[in-house]
Amino acid sequence: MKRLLVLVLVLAMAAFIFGEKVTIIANAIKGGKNTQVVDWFEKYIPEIEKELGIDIELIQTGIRDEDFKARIVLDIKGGGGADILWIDGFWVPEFVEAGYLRPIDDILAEIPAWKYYYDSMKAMGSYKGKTYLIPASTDVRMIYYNKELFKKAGIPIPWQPRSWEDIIKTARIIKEKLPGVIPIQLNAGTEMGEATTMQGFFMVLLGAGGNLYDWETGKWIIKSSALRDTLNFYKRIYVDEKLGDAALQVSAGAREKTFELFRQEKIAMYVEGTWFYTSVLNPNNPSWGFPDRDERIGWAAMPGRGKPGDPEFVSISGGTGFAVNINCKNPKLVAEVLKRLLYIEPQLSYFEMKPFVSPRSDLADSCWTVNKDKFIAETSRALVKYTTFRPAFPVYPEISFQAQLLTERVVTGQMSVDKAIEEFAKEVTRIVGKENVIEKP
Amino acid sequence: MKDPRRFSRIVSYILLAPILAFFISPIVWLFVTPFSVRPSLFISFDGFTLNNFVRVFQNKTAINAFRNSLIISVSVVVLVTTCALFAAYVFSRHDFRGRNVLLYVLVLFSSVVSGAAAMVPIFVLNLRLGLVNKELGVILTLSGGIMPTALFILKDFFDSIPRTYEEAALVDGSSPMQVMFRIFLPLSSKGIIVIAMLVFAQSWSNFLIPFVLLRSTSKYPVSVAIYTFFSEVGVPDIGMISAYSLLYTLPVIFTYVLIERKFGFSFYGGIKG
Amino acid sequence: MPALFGVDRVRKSLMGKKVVVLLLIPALALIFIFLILPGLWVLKIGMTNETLTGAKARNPDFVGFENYAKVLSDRFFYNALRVTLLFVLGSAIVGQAGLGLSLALLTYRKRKLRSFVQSVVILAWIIPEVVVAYLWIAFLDKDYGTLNMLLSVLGLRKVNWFYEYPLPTIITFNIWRGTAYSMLLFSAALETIPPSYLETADVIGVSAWRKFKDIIFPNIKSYILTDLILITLWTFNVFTPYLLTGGGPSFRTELLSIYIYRTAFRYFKLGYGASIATIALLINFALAMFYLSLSRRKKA
Repeated sequence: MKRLLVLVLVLAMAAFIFGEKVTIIANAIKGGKNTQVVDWFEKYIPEIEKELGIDIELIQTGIRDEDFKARIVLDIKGGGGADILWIDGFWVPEFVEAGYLRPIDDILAEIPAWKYYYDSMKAMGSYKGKTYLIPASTDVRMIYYNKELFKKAGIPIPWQPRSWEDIIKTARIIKEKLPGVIPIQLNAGTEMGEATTMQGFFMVLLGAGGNLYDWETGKWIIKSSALRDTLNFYKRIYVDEKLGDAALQVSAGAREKTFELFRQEKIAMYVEGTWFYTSVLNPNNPSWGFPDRDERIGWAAMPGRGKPGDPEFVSISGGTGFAVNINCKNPKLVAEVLKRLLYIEPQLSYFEMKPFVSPRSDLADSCWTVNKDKFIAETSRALVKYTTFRPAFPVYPEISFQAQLLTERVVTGQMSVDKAIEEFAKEVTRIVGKENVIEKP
Repeated sequence: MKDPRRFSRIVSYILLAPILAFFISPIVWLFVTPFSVRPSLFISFDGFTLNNFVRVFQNKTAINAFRNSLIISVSVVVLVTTCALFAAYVFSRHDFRGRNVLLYVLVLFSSVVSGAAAMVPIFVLNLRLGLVNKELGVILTLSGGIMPTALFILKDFFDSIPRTYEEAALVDGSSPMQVMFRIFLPLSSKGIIVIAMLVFAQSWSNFLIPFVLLRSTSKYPVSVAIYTFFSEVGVPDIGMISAYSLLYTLPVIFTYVLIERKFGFSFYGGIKG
Repeated sequence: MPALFGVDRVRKSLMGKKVVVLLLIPALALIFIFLILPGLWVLKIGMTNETLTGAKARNPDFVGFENYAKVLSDRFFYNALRVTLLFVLGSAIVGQAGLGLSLALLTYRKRKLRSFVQSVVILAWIIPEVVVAYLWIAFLDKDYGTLNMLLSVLGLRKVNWFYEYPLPTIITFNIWRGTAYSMLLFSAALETIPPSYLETADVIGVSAWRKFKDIIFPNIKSYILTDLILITLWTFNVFTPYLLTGGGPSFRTELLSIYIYRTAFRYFKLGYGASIATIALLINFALAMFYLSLSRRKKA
């Protein structure tokens, strides 16, 4: 009888221990836009499971980023949700304010790799003095161009424009020599969401020396000549000279459509980020990858406007990372899992599958010497020094939407540049309050 | 005498032809494409195949969604039919002040508070009850929405069943519950079955409520699954989606045909003027 | 008579209040919690600034009528209102009712023809909305859709329907989708007219228009009103166009229902979304009351 009891107890304990489970959620699905993520997890999760004696489940989804955000928000609000969330860095402020994320300073104490992370990267993951996100990757942004199309149009390669005017001139040549090819894709409109603000709006605005947020005064910039020039640049491309396809920007599924068109070599230039090269165009991507990507696709730094005093080149960086759900029941276990995922070996392996700009020094050094990914090495070396980050405030997504709307109204011809900026200024003022906005010359 | 009638008939046909073509064109695609060897967005047929259907059954999400749709629809049918049955019995057999007004208000409510205008409070309600991303939330919400119409139609139907049998049984000494179950139910089975079928068709077809309340791909019913297939990332598998859509549509058509064959059109709720 | 009366009394007392209540509770509870409560509660939610992310997710404030004031100065709201009104006018009032009536008239007293026409039209109505949306997306695809293939065969240019004519396209779609109901209703209505009226008219040689104006229309007026109420309410709240256009391009087909969805579920502004929804509901009620008063007046 006693033996039976002991057996039951042992079994119960075992069930308790072996029943331990850690869940991870990422917006990745096999065969989708982040297919490499799934491959990577499938490679390393079994090892970690065995070592820790637990169950790790990766929840896969293949949906729009905004819908992914909604999914996480609702999961957590409902009291559940995955333990480890692989999310976009700029969601941190609003998530923290809503009480969805668990501060991970204690978990980080258990992770030796944390000391190698660059300070700017650590800052991206923190909010109001506490850390909430371990950056997994960051990126830079540039102009991609199809070398074959350029050759056909007689444009000399390698190509490096030095001003907005250079871009326009090149686009005109493409339009003339290659009818049926869209010269340039510069994201615009609300349909592409944050991709418009980051790859489109900011890349232009920064080139004119402008910004959405004035760090010095702590206010949002609602009007400036940089802003006006930005919208005029958009207007020239989409309305005046028709060097881009305005209808495409506002059509449903616009982003994927542009990927498709680029793959079909119907777009000559596309302003995008690291991820575009390493994930979307990657030969290992079944949907949009180019088998001869390295030979066929070139990149150029995005130039500034070209007036005296303007930045030479610009870039803006985003980043994703691992955050921990406030509802997480076993933070210690989560720490153990994260620690192992962040060992140098899995990280190098992930880099091999899906190169990225590294947020930590040990990885950066290893990648460049061990794996010698030319693209990452070159782009990082060239652009990291120019790059900047988004203003990380809970209200940012709303302002970002206004910026997207601004570009949409101009490129579709719905409003003149001045009227659109008026509306933008009005809305942003309404969102953040009169005392938090500023106009710049 | 004959000429005007023939003339009017010819005119009718001439006017009806384009209208019918208008109605039928998008539908033809649904019945042709799933069987086509190289399915495309226009109506084309170049060889018969069942391959597209095979791909449907190989798709885990698609099969899962079928299961989810079944669970949800059947649950709603059971829930609504039993509750509406009891309530309609009372409404029919037990007059009270304001009965008709109440019914009318309920049906009006369900027409007005329908669709998108209601989705925010429905969502918040389910949020508070912890039912977001749970099938139970969808089941209860669908049931609440369909209930007034079911009640209305059932009561109407019950009214047409003579009370003599029940009265006789009551006089004989049966209890009201016995009367309801032993006497009334068998008499009214026809109407109950029709309501069950209508409720099934409605829940099976519903898109908005599971779309708003469910977030996990594994919980999606077919309606939401089809939407994700044709609207999401990547190149849609036209053959598979059309085959899947056809499979999804057939039960609904079948249900309505059955209702019409056996019970006549009069249940298209509201044709009372 | 007296016997029946006695039985009535017996019936009422035997059934007992308890049983009645027991039988009514499940249905009424479900209706109350999942239909009535949300319908009324939306007003209250609209008076908070609750969101799903950000600080207001944890501690929403009560802001009274601030949201409602915001809605009334919201450019997107007026856009959605305009789109919705045009949509309802075009697809329900003119489209479905008009086409439904025409079909009923064209198939009047031609039983077999009517059966056939009804089957076709009803098919468009009963096929689940997701499938119907996909059918139209395929039908109108700018490169390979059946309609465009037909146009190019006829030597005409292919049209990007959802981009070039977004609102007319969804209006046409909705007419296609909902005509069945009106047609059935009006067919039933026409059946109530004694055939002798029309036969007499034929003998006298009255024109078709006069027949309609003087005989048919007066007899089916109440049916027309009923039809209009119902299809107006349904069309006002319909969400299916979202599946076709997502509200675009550039918000040109953003119905109120889609705007509410965008506000509440893309930007997570539950409070503000609720206030828009409440206004939509109030408009619904107003429309319903308007039609009811019309029918009341007619009866008097």
